[in-house]
Amino acid sequence: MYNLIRFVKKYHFILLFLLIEGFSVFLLATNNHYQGNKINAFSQKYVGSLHAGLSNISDFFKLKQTNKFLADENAKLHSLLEKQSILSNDSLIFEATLFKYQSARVINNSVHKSNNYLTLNKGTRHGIKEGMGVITENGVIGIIHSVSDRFSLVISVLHQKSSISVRLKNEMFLGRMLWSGFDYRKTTIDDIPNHANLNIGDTIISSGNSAIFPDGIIIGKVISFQKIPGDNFYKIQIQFFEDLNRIHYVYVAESLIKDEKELLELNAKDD
Amino acid sequence: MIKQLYKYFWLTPIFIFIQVYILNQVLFNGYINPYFYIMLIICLPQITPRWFLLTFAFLLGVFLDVFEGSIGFHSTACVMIAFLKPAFERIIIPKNTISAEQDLFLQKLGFKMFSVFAFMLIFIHHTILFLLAHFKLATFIDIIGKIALSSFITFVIILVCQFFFFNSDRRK
Repeated sequence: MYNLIRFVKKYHFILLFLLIEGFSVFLLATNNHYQGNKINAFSQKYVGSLHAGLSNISDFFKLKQTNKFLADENAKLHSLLEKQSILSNDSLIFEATLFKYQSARVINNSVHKSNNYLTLNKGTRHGIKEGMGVITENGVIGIIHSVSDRFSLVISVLHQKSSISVRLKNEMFLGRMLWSGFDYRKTTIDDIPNHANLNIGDTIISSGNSAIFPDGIIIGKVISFQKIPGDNFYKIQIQFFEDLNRIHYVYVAESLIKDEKELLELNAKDD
Repeated sequence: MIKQLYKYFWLTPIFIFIQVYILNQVLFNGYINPYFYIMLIICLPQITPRWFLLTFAFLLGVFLDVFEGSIGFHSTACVMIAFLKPAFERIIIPKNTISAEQDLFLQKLGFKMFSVFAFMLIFIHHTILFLLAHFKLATFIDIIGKIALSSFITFVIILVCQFFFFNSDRRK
């Protein structure tokens, strides 16, 4: 026993190092999965208030930019309203509302890590649920990962595991958007077949297949593509229209048809 | 607890604040991402108890992880450099250069010695951190580039910080 104590005393530095480093690696290995990121949600709950407080300060400096954004938005909505009033008299035109939107403020954002998250200032109290889509006027931002009472955590499109269904604007070919890390202005698209007629500058839009995002939201433009010999798919690089480092206000899209669609598709799988 | 270490307790929140709300927000490029908070670990005096060194590094890492919304990345890297620090001190800093109670600051160690000492620890920290973070998706060259550029910028920021804010002894 005495020897043991002497041993521990002599090598306490290495033993303590192994213990703490082992614990760190354990935390690293168990808590960085896409799902089940519990500590993340926990820290969000408490750090969220601090982020919100500091965001109030930075908001002040962004007032001018925000004003312009809101004015543009107003103009767009006015023009939509006018169109709507003309169409509403026509009984032939019927458009079901598939999505309900509400605006939210980004209170914390990152773009330079390998897995990026955003924090929004709305939570369960405002009706935000897990799995809702987050968009802006110029692009897709991410998907709600976890929600606390007043805040919600968004998995950005700048996340290794994020995979969003997209398509070419001109043709109906579907693809998957996957981030390759490092540059937050660019991303890659897989699964668009070789025979698609593709040009530099083509617009990429969301496909709406997953019922998380509405169909036809513009995302970015093609800046380079190449055919890989022996592979049937293009390797495409696109540039986002939205500057993901500067987003300030976003819309959370709640799909009104998602449950119905998933239920229907589940039935088909059982057969 | 030694009096020398008191200041590290109130410096910690300031450094975390600067790191999370200023340096993490300023983006030079996808490749440059300085982590200057590790200056707190680098500058701890030689007399610091070993257990305190490791625990302090771990807690510092955990705090940064919580604020960044990641788990385990910073704590792993910080504990590793805390473990290597005493060995590096023995190799790089000759005996009787400075007394054991003094912080390892630039003007006490001299430019050459401090540069070698600080840069090696920074480089190891960044290597572990970025290897863990970008392990799966990035190419080898991308990671090497990011490690080299970020280490250099972190080093420059720490040097500037030492020149301007921690040279009160020289004025006396």
